[in-house]
Amino acid sequence: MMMSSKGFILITTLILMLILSCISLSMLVQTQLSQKLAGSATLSFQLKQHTQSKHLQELKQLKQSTAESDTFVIAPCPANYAAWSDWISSCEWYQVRTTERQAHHHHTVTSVLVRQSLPEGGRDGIL
Amino acid sequence: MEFYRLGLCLLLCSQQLFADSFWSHIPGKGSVQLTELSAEQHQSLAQHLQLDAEQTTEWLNELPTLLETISCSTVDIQGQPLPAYIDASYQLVSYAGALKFRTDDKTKQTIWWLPWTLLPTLSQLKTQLTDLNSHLHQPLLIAEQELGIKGQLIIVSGSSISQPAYFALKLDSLANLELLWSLSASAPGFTDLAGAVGQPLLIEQQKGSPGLSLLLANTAAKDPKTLIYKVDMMTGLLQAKLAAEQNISGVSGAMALSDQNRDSVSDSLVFGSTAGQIWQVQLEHNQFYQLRAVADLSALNFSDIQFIRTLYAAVPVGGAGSDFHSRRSQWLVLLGALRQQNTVFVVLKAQSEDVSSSSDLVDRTLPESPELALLTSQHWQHIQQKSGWFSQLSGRLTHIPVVAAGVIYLNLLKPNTEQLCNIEQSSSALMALHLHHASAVYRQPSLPLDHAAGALKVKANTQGGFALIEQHRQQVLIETMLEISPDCTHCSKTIQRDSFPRWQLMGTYHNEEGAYE
Repeated sequence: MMMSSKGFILITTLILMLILSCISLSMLVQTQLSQKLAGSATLSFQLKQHTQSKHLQELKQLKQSTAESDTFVIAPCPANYAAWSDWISSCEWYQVRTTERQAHHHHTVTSVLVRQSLPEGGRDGIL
Repeated sequence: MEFYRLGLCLLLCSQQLFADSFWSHIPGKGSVQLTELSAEQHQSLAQHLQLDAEQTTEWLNELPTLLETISCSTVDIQGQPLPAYIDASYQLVSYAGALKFRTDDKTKQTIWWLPWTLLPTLSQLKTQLTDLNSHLHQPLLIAEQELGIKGQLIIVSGSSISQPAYFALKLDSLANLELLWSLSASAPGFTDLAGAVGQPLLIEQQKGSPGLSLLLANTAAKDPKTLIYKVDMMTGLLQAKLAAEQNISGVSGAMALSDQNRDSVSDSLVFGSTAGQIWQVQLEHNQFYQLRAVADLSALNFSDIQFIRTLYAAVPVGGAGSDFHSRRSQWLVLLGALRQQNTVFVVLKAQSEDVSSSSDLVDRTLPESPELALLTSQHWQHIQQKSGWFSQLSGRLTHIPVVAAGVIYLNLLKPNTEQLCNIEQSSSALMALHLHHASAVYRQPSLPLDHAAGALKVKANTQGGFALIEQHRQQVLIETMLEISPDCTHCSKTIQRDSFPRWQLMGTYHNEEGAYE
């Protein structure tokens, strides 16, 4: 009788230990996951900020550079309140794309800009 | 004594004949100088003119005087300078197909190119030219950068009403003028060509059709079967025709191409009748489609249209006061038309559904005294809600107006009908109007000019802004140019040079892909 009760306590203790370890293990995993989750938002935000600042820098460089970039097309100027005849003003459309990577994640910012200039000696308007 | 007089006369006549050179093209024989004809060529000319040999010699002797008379019969003589690789000292003027290469350089001779078909009716040309109710269009010059052939120039011109023909000349120097092609009613596909007084229009590289093409208007007065021809620029071969569907007749020689879908390829053509009906047709892959009426301005009693142009602009639509900032991007049709020998300038909104009539336009003609030129809020609302405005100008437009920073600059000439060819005797003026409501932008609405102004150019000035200059004499017409401002109805400010090039951010897009582990 004494022997069977001892066995019962042992099995119960073992089962309890198993349950406890299961609970603690899942809690550990959950904590790790939430940490990752929390971290990913921060990382994503950092990546976005990094791409954004790099993109702004590229835009600034483009606006300051006098050399013509090879990624533009000459197309009609966008509508303006103070419009210009198309033979005295010309427009170039630029596309600036900045991509930053972090592990398996990447973030791209694309801007479309128009550069309007007044070339000297445009075509004549002949009647 | 009589003998000496005759000798002197002959000397003077021959002097005149040698001073200028006169070229034409005998079909099947090539380019010839009319003053140096061989016996065979002389005979061909006599046959063509239906004269005998003696009369032909007489006709040739009288040719310089006849051409001199023709040059003094019209006010539409705005010469186009030839490119420097040909000879920049020469200007080209067309008198309904008779081409004159003139120069101020006394050491160089004037050159005339006379289309063969025009020769028998040359003496009748004067009557056609003196009609100030119609506009005489100038030829199209296609330079080496458009052609992609170094050192070459192609001139495309229309010829008179009595012998309608369009022709193209190819030249690499003024001593080497060659007829590239000539299209008259006898050419295959052009049997219904009954009027060729239009300005040819160049279509640059289109999708699906390599090479350059031209649009030629059939300016026939009555019931034409074809309104517009599309031809290959180098060969003159017919590529497409716009057939008349809706009883359209009396097409004027003024047309304009625009890029409606804004993909850098012209896809839409605006043209009109001399009476003022305006149509639009889509053009793609050698096909004209969707012909529709844009406006009927015939109530304004036009006698001809001088030019048509399109302009893409942000047009105010909101009304006055706080609503002023509402704007819509849309195409405007700018046209200059003749009415009783003066110009009426129209700015028309190209509405997609309705056909605008003259009653939808607000009369914004500037009164004699500038203080009366008030823009009432009722007028302003009408312009914004309806189809645009028109302004009657005192004088005749000599060049296509320049639109710079929302200001329309117009070159006007009041011809002296006694001395048509002497443009210096005519009074000229420069006008500057607000693009959106035609009010005066500068303190003086009209600037009287000492000399008739040629083509206008925008040039940087020493004060860090821009000046408007007359290109031929390099004369400054407006020292500091203004720019209209969207802050209020009449606001304007100086255009700053350092604001160019202007950058405009059209949009920014973000894209995020992938996952963290």
